[in-house]
Parts: sequence; structure tokens; C-alpha cells
Amino acid sequence: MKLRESLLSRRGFITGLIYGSFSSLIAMLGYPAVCFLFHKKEIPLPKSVSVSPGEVEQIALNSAVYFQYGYLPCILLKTETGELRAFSAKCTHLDCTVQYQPSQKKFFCACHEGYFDNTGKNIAGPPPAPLVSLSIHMEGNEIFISHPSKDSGEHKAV
Amino acid sequence: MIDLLKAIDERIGLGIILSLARKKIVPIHKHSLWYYAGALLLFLFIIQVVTGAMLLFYYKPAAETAYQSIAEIMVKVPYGWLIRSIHHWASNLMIVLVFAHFFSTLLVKAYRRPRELTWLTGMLLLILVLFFGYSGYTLPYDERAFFAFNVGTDMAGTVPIVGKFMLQFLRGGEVVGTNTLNRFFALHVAVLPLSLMAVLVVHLILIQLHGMSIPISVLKEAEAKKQKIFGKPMFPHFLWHDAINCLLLFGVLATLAVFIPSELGPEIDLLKPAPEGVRPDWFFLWVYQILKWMPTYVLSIEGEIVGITGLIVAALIITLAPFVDRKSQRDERSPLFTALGVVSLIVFVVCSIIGYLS
Amino acid sequence: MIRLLRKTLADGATYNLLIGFAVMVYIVSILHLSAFAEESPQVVKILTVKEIKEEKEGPVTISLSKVEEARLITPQRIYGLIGLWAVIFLAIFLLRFQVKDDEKLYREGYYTKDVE
Repeated sequence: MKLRESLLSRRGFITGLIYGSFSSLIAMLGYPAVCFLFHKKEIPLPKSVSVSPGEVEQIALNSAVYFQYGYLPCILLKTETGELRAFSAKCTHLDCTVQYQPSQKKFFCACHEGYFDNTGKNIAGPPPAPLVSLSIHMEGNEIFISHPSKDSGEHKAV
Repeated sequence: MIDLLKAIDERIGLGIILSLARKKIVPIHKHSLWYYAGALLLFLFIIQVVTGAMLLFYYKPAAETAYQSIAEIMVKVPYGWLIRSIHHWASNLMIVLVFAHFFSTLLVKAYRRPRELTWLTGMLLLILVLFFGYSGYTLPYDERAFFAFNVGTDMAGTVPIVGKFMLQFLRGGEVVGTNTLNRFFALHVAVLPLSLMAVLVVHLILIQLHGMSIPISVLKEAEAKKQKIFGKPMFPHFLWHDAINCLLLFGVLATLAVFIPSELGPEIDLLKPAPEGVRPDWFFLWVYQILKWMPTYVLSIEGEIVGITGLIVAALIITLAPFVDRKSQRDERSPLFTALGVVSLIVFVVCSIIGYLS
Repeated sequence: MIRLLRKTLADGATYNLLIGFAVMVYIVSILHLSAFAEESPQVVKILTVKEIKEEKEGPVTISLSKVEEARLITPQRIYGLIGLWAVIFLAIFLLRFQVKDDEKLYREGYYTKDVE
């Protein structure tokens, strides 16, 4: 059935086309803008870090020191038996830096009272996962610590 | 569209806006073309604010990091070259248009009664836009920017009485360094935009109140021929005309950005001498050339000081034109001030060209 | 003057304000004290480390030649520009239709009607 008059006026048609062309213009401008704003800069972590054995020897038993691994704050623990363990010092709850409490032999996160034992396992409070464990290996006289994302070869605990 | 207006009217009332909008009529005569400059300038300013805000996401305003952050924008960030080039070209076009707008209003005597305050706010806007341009091209902290800092702040220092304080304020100390960059960044990104927006609001409100000024020659012609001056309403006709102009301007901007993307000069090396041919950006070439022509000493006063003071005095005369030009206040032809306007336009263009070629 | 002062002090509202202020100061100082109670150890021992970077990592700084490379015109940019101009011309063409129609409506008095 053919209609006598169009349901859409000429003016309405042109107005619709104008809105359409303006929308496509905005989309054409919006795409580069969105790409621009959503760019993220990849900051790579170093393959590994080396620490001098002399400094490591100076760490007292049952205490921990901090060190920087690229942009990650990390913590090196020397247990009372002299074993070295390295962890990322970022709490797995909301990324606060943890501290070692020698009296309790636990890592404590002050932000929301989270606790990790001295193997990095989350034992109390809100943290949902254990501290990221870094692997330590000796090569000759030097001690190397590497992040699991960069880990490729064998390692043995020191 | 009417339903939307009705909905807003029910809720917050559109009385004043609609009555102003309906009354606003744009006169049509042989000089009507100049009326478009204002809307184009506003459009460019909005583009500058948006692209500037986007560039702010990646620019790092410290002496050690500024240059690399701009290089990162150009190379690493997707469409960074486009956003930066649009920002750069929009600033150039804005300065061209602001001078065109300034000279056109000067020559048609749009500053006469009752538009004196519009003229004064307009002059203030001109100075702000020029300062925007200057502070903008110092931010990459490349070679040219470094010399722009030194020369520009030194020139500010030659102004009598307040010069020393201005120099120390602009530099953030005695020498150009990271403090200077931080200050110019703060000016470019916060102080100047807020000031410009404040003055612009006053400028625009005054224009809405007074309507568009009609040149004296057109008035006289209409009087002689006993004709009324024909006009068209702003809404919706001139709104669509403005939209068309803005679209064309944006197309031109994008074309310039693609074919001539903005450059990055070599990094600052404090031990390198000023490169040959170092000069300010094009909109300051007229000042550069006039100061180059000044003799070293004029009656035992340094030529620089004489030159800059002379330019400030000339600018003041032009700024006070509405109060000095009696004839145009009476809506009579004022050939003296027309001549003054033409002379300043010729000086501006000729000195800029000579400054560019030399 | 003295009378005004005595009147103000005799007024109940003033005392309420003073008491309220004193309570506020007390509460704020107590909350503040607890913030100092659990401070992290003052002396943080830090180990010096030497970073060993990946071999394939390029130079961190971007050279001028890379910037010049980024400025070169590519075909994608030209296509984008042509597309932009196409949309702009389409919009202008349609707007001119709209202007003509609006002029007709203006002549008929459409735009001088009040918003009902």
C-alpha cells in the first residue's frame, strides 16, 4: 500500500542526516582521542638483580632488609637458621608495603592488618594470596635474585 | 527540538536566554565577513583546552623530563603526533585570527560608544593569547625554548621600574632553569586559561548586550540612500553559518596537522652557542625586527629599553583609542584613526616579513 | 562594653558553642594520637642492588631521528584526512539545506512564536 504523504518530512530527513553526519564526525575524532588516552607505558622489570654477599652476611638472623627490583619494592628475609628468602614487599590485598616483625616471625601489613608467615603465605587479615616469591640463586660468588615472571633457568635455595 | 526546549523551560526557565536569542540580529553588509572571527576564535579555544588537557596526560614539566616526554608523545603515544600538531596549529590559527579580529575592529571603529569595555576586554584577550603562544612554545624545553626563555624574560626585565621584579617572577630566580619551566607551565595550564575564560565571559556578555556594531561607512551609506540596514537573526541562521565555518576550520586544522606535523628542535646543550638564525616564533617577529633596528644607545638610554617602552606606549594609545577618538564616538568618519590603524597593520605585516626573511 | 560581654556569656547558646568546640578538639586529638601509635619502624634497612637488564632492551631515550620518523606522512593518515573532509563536506551540504529551510520558516514567522 503506497502512502499519499511520507511519514518523514523533508526537514526531518535532513535533520536526521545532519545528526548522523555530526555523530560520525564525533566518532572519527573520538577514536584517536580514545587511543591516545588509553595508551599505557610498559615499564619492564630487570631480568635479575645481584646483591653483594658481604652485605647479605651483615643481615642479622631473623631480620629482613628491603631492596628495589626495578619498580617493585622487595624484601629479603634471613631466617633464624640463616636461610635466605626473597619476596615482593607489596601486600597482595591493596599493594601497601609490608614489614617484617621479628618477634612474631611474620610479615605485617599495616594498612588493613594483614599477616603473612615467614614463607610468604597469607595467614590472617584481608590479603587473598601469598606474597610473590622471588627466586634466589648463586653464580660463583654473587647472589642473584629474579622475579618469577623473568625466571627461566634452574635455581637452588641459598 | 522544540520539545527539548519546552522540557528545559519547564524546569529551569529559559526566559532571558530565549528573549536575548530572538532579539539577536546580525546585520548584513559588505563588512559582515568580519563578524565570523569571534565564533571561530571561541571554537579554536575549545579545541586548545581539549587537546591541551589530553597532552597534559603525558607531558612531564621538569627540566630533565620535559623534552623526553614530548618525544614520547610524538613517537610512542598513539596519535600523539596528531593531538600535538592540532594543538600547535590551532594556536597559530588562533593568533592569526585574533590579530585579524583586532585589526578589523580597529579599522571599522567597533570600539566606539557603547562598546568601549568590549574593546578593553578584547585588548586584554589579545595580550593573553599572545602570552599563551609564547609560554606554549617554551614548554618542550628544546634549544629554541631555552633562548626564548632567556630573551623573553630579559626583555621583560628592561621595562622601566617593574622590570627587575618581572624578570625574577617569570624566571623563578635569577637564571633560567627548571623553576622557569615550572612557572611557565603553571601559567600556560592554569593561570592563563582561567584568566582568559574570565575575561572572555565578560567580553561575550557585553557583545550579547550591545549587539553587533555596524561600521560608520555602512551607516553613512544607508543614511544617504535612506535605506534600512538588512539583518538576519542569529538563531538559527548564523548558528548554522558558524557551524559551517567551524567545520571548515577544523578540516584546515587537520590538513595542516597531517601535512606539517609539529617539530621538535634539538635538546638543550648549555655549552652550545645560540644557533644562527635563532628568532622568536612568527607572531613576535615584528617586535624582534623593530628592536633589531634600534641603535644600541639612544641619548644614553639603552636602545632595548627605548624600543620596548615605545611599543608599550603605542599599544596604550591603541588601547585608549575609544576615549581619544572623538569623531567616531559621534558616529562620524575618523580618518586619523583609520590611518593609525592602517599604519599599525602595515608595520605589523612588513616587520614580520622582514624579520622572517632576514 | 562590659555589659555586652556579660550578656553574651550569660546566653546559653554561647556556652553550648564553647562546650561543643571543646568536645570536638578532644575527639580530634584522641583520633590523632592513635595514628602515631602504630608507626612502621623508623630505620628501614635498604640493600644496594645492581640491576641486570634484558639484552634486547633498546635505549631508554628517544632520539630526534625517531621523532622525525613519526612526523612522516603515511597512507593511513591521508585516507583518514580524505574521510574527514568527506564527512565535513557532507555536513556542510546538509547544513546549507537546513539554512534554506530555516529561512523559509523564519519568513513564515515560525521562530518568533513563543515557547508554549
